Amino acid sequence: MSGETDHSLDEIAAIDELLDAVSRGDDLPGSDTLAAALKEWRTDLDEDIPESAPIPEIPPAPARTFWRRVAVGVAAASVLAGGLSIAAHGAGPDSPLWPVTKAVYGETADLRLVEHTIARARTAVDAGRYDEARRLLDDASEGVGKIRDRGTAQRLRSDIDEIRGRLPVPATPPAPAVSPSAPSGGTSPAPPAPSPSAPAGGSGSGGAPGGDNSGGSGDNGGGAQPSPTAPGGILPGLPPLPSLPVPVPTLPVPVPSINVPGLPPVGG
Amino acid sequence: MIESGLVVRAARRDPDATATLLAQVRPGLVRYCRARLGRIGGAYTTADDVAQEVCLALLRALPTYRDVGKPFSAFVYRIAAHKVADAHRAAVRDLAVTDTGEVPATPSPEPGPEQHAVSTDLARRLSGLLARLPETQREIILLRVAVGLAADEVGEVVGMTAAAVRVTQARALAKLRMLAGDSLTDEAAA
Repeated sequence: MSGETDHSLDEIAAIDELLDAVSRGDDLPGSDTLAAALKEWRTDLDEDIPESAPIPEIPPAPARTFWRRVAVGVAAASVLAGGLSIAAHGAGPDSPLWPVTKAVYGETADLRLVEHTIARARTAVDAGRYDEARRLLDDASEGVGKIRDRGTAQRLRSDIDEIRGRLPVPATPPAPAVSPSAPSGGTSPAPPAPSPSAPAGGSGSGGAPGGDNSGGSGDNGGGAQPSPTAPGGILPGLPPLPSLPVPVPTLPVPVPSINVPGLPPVGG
Repeated sequence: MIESGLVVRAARRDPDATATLLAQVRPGLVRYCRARLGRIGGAYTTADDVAQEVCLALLRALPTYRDVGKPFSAFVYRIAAHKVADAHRAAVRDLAVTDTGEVPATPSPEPGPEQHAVSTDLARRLSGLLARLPETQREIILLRVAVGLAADEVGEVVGMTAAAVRVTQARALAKLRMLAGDSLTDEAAA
C-alpha cells in the first residue's frame, strides 16, 4: 500500500468490472480511450491464432520410465513443433528468429541430453561401473551449465548429487594407494606431499618399492580403503604440516592406509 | 475456469482429456505470449513459437500436477511466465534488441480527434506503455486483460489475494492513463 494512488472501494470495483468487460470483448460504456485501446489490443492478440496441432498419442503410463518419458516428449515435440513452429525451427543464425530457435529448441536439446546422461550414470552406478558413472556425471554437470531454467537446473543438479552420493568413497586420484605391507612407500606419490594432507609424504619416508605396486592404477583399490585424509586426524599433536620442510621423507608421517598408532620415531 | 476433473484425467495421461485441456488453455497462452513478447518483425510468429514451447512444457509438467485446490491456471501461467522470461532474456542477449517499448511509434497518419483513431493509436503503443509499468502491475494487466483470468485466479498466479490484485490493477490502470496522457499530449504538442 504505497498509497501512490488511492482508490475508493467503489472505484476499485468499477475498474475490476471494466477489465472484465474489456477481456470479454463487451461493449464499453462511455468514451474511455484507455479501455477502448485495451479492448483493441486484446482483439489484436486474439487474431489468427494458429490451429493447435493434434496431440500425439500418449500411452497410459503407470510406470514413468525414463525412456517412455523421452518417447512421449520427443513425439510431442516433433508433432507440435513440426506442425507449428516451422518458422523458428528453420531459422538460421542470420534470421531474426534465430535467438528464439536457440532459446526454444537448443534448451530442449540440452535438457534431453543431460537427462539422458544422468540416466546412463544411474545405470552405471547400479551396475557398479563407478568410473563410467563418474565420467557421465561430470558430463552431465557440464551440460547442466547450459540449462537456463533455474528450477530445471536445480532438479538436474540434485539428481547428479544424489547419484554421486551413491558412488563409493571418492578414490581421490592423488591419494597414494599404498598397500598396508609397505610401511614406507615409494616416492612416486610425491606430488601431493606439500599439501596439508601430507600422508603422501609418509609413503616417501622409506622407499620400499613395494609401495609403488599399486601406485599407478591404484585408484580403484584405494577407494575402499580409509580416506586418505584420515591419518591427519590421528596426528593431533603434530605441528601444522604445511610448515614442514617440503621434501618430507624424513618425517614419521604414517602411510594413509595404515593406522599406525605408535608413530615410530624414525626421525632424522 | 478449467474443469478440475479434466485436468486430473489429463494428468493421468488420458489422451482425449489432454487434447481437450490443451485446446482450452492454448488461446490464452498464445495471447499471453503475444502480449509479453509483442510483435517481432511486425508479426506474432515468434511469440506463437514460444507459446508452442510453453504448451510442450505444460505437457511435460502435467503428470506432476497435484490438485491442491488452486486453479489450474496458476500452474499454467507460472510455467508460461518462466518460459517467456527465458525466451525474452535470450532474445535480448543475442540480438541486443532495443526494447520494442522504447521505439517511438510512428505518428498516426490521421491524428483526428475521433476516439477510434486515438484508441487505435494508443493500442498500438500499449505494449510499450505496459513495459513501463512495474512488473507485478504489468503481469496482472496481462493476465486480466490479455488472458482473461478472473482477479482471484490472477491472485493465485502472482501470489496475491484477489483484493490485492484489484487494488494493484486499479493502480496499474491509473499509471497507464498517466503514461498514455503524456504521450498523447506529446503528440498533440508536436
